[in-house]
Amino acid sequence: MTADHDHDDDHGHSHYDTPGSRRARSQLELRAMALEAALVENGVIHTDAIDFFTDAMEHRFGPHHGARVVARAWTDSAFKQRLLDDGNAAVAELGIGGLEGNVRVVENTPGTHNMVVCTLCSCYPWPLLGLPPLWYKSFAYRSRAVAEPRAVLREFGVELDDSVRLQVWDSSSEVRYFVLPDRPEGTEGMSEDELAALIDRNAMIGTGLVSLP
Amino acid sequence: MATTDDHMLDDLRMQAEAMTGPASLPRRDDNEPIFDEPWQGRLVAVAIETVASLGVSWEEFRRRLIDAIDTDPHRNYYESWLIALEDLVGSHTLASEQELDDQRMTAASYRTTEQDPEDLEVFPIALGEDTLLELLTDVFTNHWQTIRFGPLIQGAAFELVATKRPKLSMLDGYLTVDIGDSHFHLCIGEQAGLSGRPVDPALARRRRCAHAELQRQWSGGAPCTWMFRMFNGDGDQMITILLPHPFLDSDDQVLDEPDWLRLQLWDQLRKRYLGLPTDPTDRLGDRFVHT
Repeated sequence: MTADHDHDDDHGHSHYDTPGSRRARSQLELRAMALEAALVENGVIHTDAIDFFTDAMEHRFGPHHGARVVARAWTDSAFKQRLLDDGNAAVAELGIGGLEGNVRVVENTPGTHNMVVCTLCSCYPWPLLGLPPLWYKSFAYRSRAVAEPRAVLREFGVELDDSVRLQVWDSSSEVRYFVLPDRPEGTEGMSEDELAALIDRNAMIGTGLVSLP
Repeated sequence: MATTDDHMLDDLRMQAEAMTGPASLPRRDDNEPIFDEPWQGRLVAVAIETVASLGVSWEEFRRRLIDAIDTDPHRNYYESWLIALEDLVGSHTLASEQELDDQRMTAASYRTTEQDPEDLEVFPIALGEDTLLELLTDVFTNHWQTIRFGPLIQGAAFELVATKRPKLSMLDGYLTVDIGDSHFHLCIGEQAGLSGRPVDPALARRRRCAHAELQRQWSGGAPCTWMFRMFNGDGDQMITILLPHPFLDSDDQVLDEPDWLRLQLWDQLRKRYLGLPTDPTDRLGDRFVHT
């Protein structure tokens, strides 16, 4: 909004050369814009919250960001240490922001497997993984991940040896857990990009493993 | 940082996404929600934030969404979201109809001085071949006695009139408007080429109307000229149609008293193609201004 033009003081049409407003909009879009603008103007909602949510919805955030973090940790041990020490600061090094709460990274090793759930609702590190999958939010997963995690993992196709310790982490709005998967054998010569392509969302929730194609 | 509010929002987002039956969000194969256009995703966010801000349950919204879908199951799914949110906003008096109308008018246009030293307000309208044909047919066959038309660019101003009711026809993407003793052609659709002579698609794109606008020119704090304009793929103006003017009669004679009924066509086009209400500012002028 500008107020530097004499017409603008007289009435409400004050979008002077607003960038982005030159595109033709459908009647539905105009109605949606009007609702948002009126609600923001009346203090009911806040633009930054809408922007954040919409960015997530438009998939600026997604598992490919998480995969980049994992691939970097596999190839740069100093980064990995920083990631385990302070998740938010380390992912910020890769230009990933917008995290709500603290991200705590838990590392899978040959002897330990980690798995993440939010028993209360669906807390999830969106900027790293995108929107949570429906099953993550289901009552079945939220309850069974704690009660019988090995059975749940089997349903995801993950068979853990009895000797492997299984640790289940309960995310909350304050701390959101992120699994650093174990790097599979046979990937020694791979570049960071090649490695990132191997890593999917479930591996970073702990309901999957990383394997070679 | 995370607060109880974040938790409540997460919970509402979950409930929004977990809706089943006719209310459920359209999804891709991998279960991510589908938004054909960005405003739809934004609308979902606005609805969730509004419910959170009201402190009511998601059910308050869901019930309205289901009602909206039940009323017309074939309408656009996100139009039902709009209706539901408008209803929620109305019933909790979060915004008045007047405020929504004003915001809609603001969102529909922008002001520019780049085409003219006077101030121009532009309302871009989304028109495909069918709606362009509908609009031009209506304007030329039902309002031919009150409009003037032709290119109106820097250094050249055509203000032509039809001498009898125009006849319109389409051939190979071109609309022919026969205005009595002469005619002209406007490319409003896909030109394929005739008699086995195909037209280069890139050239056809340059020729075809790429955008259309309703415009009103301002002078001295009031609108003074009302127009419909079309531009081709190169951004060149194809035609300006000067809409009936409240201070000019059909013979272009200046009226002492404004005849606001002459703004009917402008009001009708705004309503039909932008969904906008009649705007009182269109009736602010008190005299004819030559532009």
